[in-house]
Amino acid sequence: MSEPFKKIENKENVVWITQPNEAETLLKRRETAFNVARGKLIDSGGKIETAMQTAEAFGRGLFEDFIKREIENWTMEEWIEPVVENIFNPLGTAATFTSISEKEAKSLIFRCRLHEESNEPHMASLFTYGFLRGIFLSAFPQGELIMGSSIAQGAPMIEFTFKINATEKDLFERERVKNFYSQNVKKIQESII
Amino acid sequence: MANTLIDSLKERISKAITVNQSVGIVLPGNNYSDLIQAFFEYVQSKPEDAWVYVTITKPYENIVKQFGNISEVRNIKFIDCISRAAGISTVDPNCIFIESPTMLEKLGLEIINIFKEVDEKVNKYLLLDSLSTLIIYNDPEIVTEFFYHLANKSRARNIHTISLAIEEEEVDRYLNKLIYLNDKILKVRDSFI
Repeated sequence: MSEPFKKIENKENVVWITQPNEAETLLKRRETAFNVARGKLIDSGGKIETAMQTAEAFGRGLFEDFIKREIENWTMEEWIEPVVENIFNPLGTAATFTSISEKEAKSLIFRCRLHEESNEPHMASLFTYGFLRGIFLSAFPQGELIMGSSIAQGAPMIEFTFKINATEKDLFERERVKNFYSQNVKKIQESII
Repeated sequence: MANTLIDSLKERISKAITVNQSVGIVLPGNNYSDLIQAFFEYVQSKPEDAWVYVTITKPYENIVKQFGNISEVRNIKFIDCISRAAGISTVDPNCIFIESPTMLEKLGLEIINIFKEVDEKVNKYLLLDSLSTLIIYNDPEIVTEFFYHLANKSRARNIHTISLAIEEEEVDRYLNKLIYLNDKILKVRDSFI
């Protein structure tokens, strides 16, 4: 089996790049979940919360099916390796992890098939945030996923920080992301229609 | 709004690169897509010029997917430093793929090799996308050394260079040192445009 990451070392600089290797079954499963989330968004008259919950549930499902092991206290390393191998790579997601420590990991996604194929950048970013949050919080319920730049906003990459222990400020992150997409809900609805 | 922004960016790129040998463009991540679109439109409007686009930020195949016909534009060649590191094995006659973004010597050689084949009378231009991404994969001191060499070689061969720098807190101190090696700096701000 190939390594889930490629480690790139340059003097003291170390980063890890995922190795996309698409698997049709998982791509189909994501497509279905994505369509359900967008359908719920339309049916609810643009409620971002509904779409986000659907994405998070999809993430929790992926965790149950592909990641879950008999581990009481997960470490970042124990979480990242199977997530990259069983989720990122089969979904064709190319990302660079710029740091992985005991407390947090930072990633820059520079290739996301959902963004490429859906033509709905806001909906794709919202869904990606939701499902990654679902996967992450399944292992680290005290943690939080912080979203930096996103392709939907015009940035070249989606920036995520995975924090094992959320600070008080981090606890508002989900709400912040939700508010951002709520303000852009018209753009999302227009792109869907 | 987007068109006004792109037109304005196009005009600023055009003015700056015609007059100066090297231009550094500092931009917030969210303006990246607009800037790249403006750049490609500018390149297509000057079919008599020869361009080399070095991408470290996004795989070549993603650029093609996002900007459609750019792979058919005859006056631009690409060098992709990220695809192979992410295990993406696309092949395209219009693009040279480098194994890793840390192979800076090879990158420098490939740039010069492409321009060697261009008629002396033709205006030659290079776009480096981006210094900030190079710093993710390489020790900043090595990037500085590479950039010095590249700037000197380009000057000696009358190649105009544009180097992008996407603003990020963590790399700003290195970027500031690097970007000011250019003859002219453009800072992209929504309010400024």
